Amino acid sequence: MSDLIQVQDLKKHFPIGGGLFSKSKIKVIAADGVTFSIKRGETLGLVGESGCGKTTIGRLLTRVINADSGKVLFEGRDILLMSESEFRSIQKNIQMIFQDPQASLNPRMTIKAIIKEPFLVHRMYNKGRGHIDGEINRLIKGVGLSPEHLNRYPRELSGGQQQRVGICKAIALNPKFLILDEPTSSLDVSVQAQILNTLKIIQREMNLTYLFISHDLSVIKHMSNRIGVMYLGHLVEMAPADELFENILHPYTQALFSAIPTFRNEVRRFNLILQGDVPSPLKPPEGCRFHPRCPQCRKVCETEMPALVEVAEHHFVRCHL
Amino acid sequence: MSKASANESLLQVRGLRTRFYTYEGEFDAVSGIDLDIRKNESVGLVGETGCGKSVTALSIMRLIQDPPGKIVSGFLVFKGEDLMSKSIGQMRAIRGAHITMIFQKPMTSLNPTFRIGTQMADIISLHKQLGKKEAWARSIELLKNVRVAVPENVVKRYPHELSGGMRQRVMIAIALSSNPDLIIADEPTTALDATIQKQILTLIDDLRQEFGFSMLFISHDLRTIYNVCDRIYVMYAGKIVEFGDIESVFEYPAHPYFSALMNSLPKFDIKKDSLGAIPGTIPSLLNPPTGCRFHPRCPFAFELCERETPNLREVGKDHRVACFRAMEGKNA
Amino acid sequence: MSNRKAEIEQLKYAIFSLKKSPAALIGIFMLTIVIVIAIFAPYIAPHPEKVYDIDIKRRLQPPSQEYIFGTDDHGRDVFSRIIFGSRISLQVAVIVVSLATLIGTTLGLVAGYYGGMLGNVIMRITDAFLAFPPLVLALCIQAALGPSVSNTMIALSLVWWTWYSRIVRGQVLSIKEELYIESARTTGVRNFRMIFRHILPNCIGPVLVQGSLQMGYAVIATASLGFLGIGAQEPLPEWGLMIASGREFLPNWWWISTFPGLAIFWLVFGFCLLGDAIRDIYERS
Repeated sequence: MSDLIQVQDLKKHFPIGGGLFSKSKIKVIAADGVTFSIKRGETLGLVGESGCGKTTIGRLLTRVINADSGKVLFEGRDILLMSESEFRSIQKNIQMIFQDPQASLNPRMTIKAIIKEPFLVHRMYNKGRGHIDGEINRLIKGVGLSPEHLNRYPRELSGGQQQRVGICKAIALNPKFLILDEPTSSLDVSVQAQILNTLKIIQREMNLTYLFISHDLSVIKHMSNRIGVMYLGHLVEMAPADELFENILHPYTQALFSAIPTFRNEVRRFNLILQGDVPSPLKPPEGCRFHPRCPQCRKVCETEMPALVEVAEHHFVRCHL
Repeated sequence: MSKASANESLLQVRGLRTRFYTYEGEFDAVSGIDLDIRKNESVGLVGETGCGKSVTALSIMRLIQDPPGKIVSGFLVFKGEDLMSKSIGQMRAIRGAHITMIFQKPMTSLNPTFRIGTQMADIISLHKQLGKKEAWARSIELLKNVRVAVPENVVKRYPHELSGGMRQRVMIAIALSSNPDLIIADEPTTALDATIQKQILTLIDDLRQEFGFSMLFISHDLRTIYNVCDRIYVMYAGKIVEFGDIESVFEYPAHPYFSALMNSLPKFDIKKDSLGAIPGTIPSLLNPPTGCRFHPRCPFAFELCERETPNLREVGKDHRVACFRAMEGKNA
Repeated sequence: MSNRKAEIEQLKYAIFSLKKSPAALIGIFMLTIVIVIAIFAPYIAPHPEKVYDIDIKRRLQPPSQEYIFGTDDHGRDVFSRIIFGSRISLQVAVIVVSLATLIGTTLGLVAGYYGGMLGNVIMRITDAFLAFPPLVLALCIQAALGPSVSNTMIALSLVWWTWYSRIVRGQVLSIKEELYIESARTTGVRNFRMIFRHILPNCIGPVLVQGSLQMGYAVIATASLGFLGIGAQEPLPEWGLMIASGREFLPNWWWISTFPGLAIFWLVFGFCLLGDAIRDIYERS
């Protein structure tokens, strides 16, 4: 299994303020040198709190926003360097499923029109109109919708159904890579289970590669092969899912795991409660970004940013300890 | 988590039915429910979208807007008095003084154009006649209660200058200001980050020990409810399907809906390939299923379930379920 | 096709909402009368030949059975003139609003979607136009072009497009941030399709609402310009012009000015009611 996607040192900042003639001085650093890779057929989970940059990474990979620096290699080619037309030829391989299912669907388009659009945009109608209709029917059945939904408008569907439409739209053209940005965060628990099951099934059937972004650790654990933990624009820890839960190394990850409520059977190995608020990405701390809140902070942490180092097999940590 | 032993009753809801009149027809968002909250107790109300939990909270506070909604029947006995018989003025006095509420999105509960101190002072002076200086001083005191580090600074800020966690502390401070008997919290930590959630929940627990109020905690997050509440009520399609002591209910989820819900959660201790999803969807309240409302989706349903609505029956110590099958101990 | 079905459902709901609102029904009724009158003018007018012909013998006759609204100072039948005048008013309303919305919406779309230098230039031109009181500007343009109904239409269109341009641009700017636009971009939708399939349908609402209301204003503006003598010219049976020509005969020969005035009221009120109804439907959907 080779790497499908390789992200190297991706950086993105958002300037705040500034006007017609002046460049703004304040920047929000969303992603500050993020590096990871995903193998074909694998699911990489990206977890972190608000402001950590995980959503930005997703949007950088679809080129909805432009990166400031870094490389994104898709099947060996850097998609950030491609021209618009070059990118368009592989664009259908990189698709996204969004956090707010209702907002991701055009309220003035019928479901059928929404699912049909990818075909029209990429000129897949040379096999005749009947072919597209057949494809649409196949897609909706595959996610558990029925033909009667095709004539409806998004607002007439439930959240779960809307997200299924989003899934159809994303897989319509047989992509290779799917970025899932909190796909079930706004859904009820029972609906979430349905959607997650569907996502696993289509991943197997279509040999898809997933980047699964979420703040919910239980969902990430269920869906991911490997998990990356982000904090203020950096990856602070990355490991295979089981290994991570057995052996949490970074203090932030420990705090994160300590913070989630658990059931009685779910044994907790740490109990680290952080004080204070998540710092603003406007002025990240010097040295290790986590040091002001870190209970094991040492002198070196205040001045030097640690590198992401492989500490155990496939287990990377960014920490001086 | 304090165990509420045979405490005095604080709030008794009996037969609450709240109806909404809409373009599509009329429906009962809450279909005849009974609820008990005792003194010094934390009660959880759990359910998915459309189950009626938020409407229940608003009904208890008598905040249902008419039109389109109305409480058509039921008793709300609070500290021995029926809230249904109170006038608007009397209700207003009770709300804010004895029963207060914390909402999910603190940004929308706070007025963005006023400083924190001003808003807190306004609310405090509603129930106590205090001069401006005294009201501000009291605000600072209240913020200290909720463990705000430098309250003198916070009162001067505007809501958008504060983080989500800080704003929620402000809301809690406001809710505590009149030393209420009951605080209703509707998804108070859902919009917050995990680490902040933990802080706020720990804070609420500490405050309950310190001030001794009861809490009605509404959420769809089962883990949070498990860690915060003493007792739990589970709602489905406007009805209460299971309730009781938190440990009993979670140890043995007797109602098929609740046990299916527990099954559909990804767990930390068990690795599963697929989650136990509940087939079908939540029924429309305009035309709810006959008999037990869960029967069309229930794997254990038989013909009685369609004909008759099951009553809440005891299935363990302080544990009741509204299910014909649960009595037979059908699920393990 | 199946899309048709969904559109029919939407239409059904729109009609249902209209039925519920008495204001909308009255508005539609009022407008329908005018439209029917305009279309069938030659058949409805009792004295079609007396619209233009001057007949001194029949001057200034009060309303009677033969001449329902009386005759004016040229002996022309006021009633028939009003009927034929409805054609002018309706024409103006429809053409002016169509032109204004076309120009304004296009410019607004371009300014909002592409932004940058082009957008800035468009918006500054819009601002410049908006700086003048609309009727004064229309007056100047009309004066420059010369008195006629067609020039009135041009003048009003050139003044009123600015409102649409500003509103549409504002809408486009906010729609651009919507998640479904990002979703469309991820699918690979390109500019042309993005503008016409995704953005335009979602910002057309305020345009429709304002457009229907502006039809009423168009009628008033035309009448005002006609009244002032710089719009429609004799012998056209334009309602404003008719009011003006009857002015010197007030109050004894009141019918010459009064009935055209009532006609204007009828038509404009109808447009206003309809406009409100459209806005209510739009807001509800």
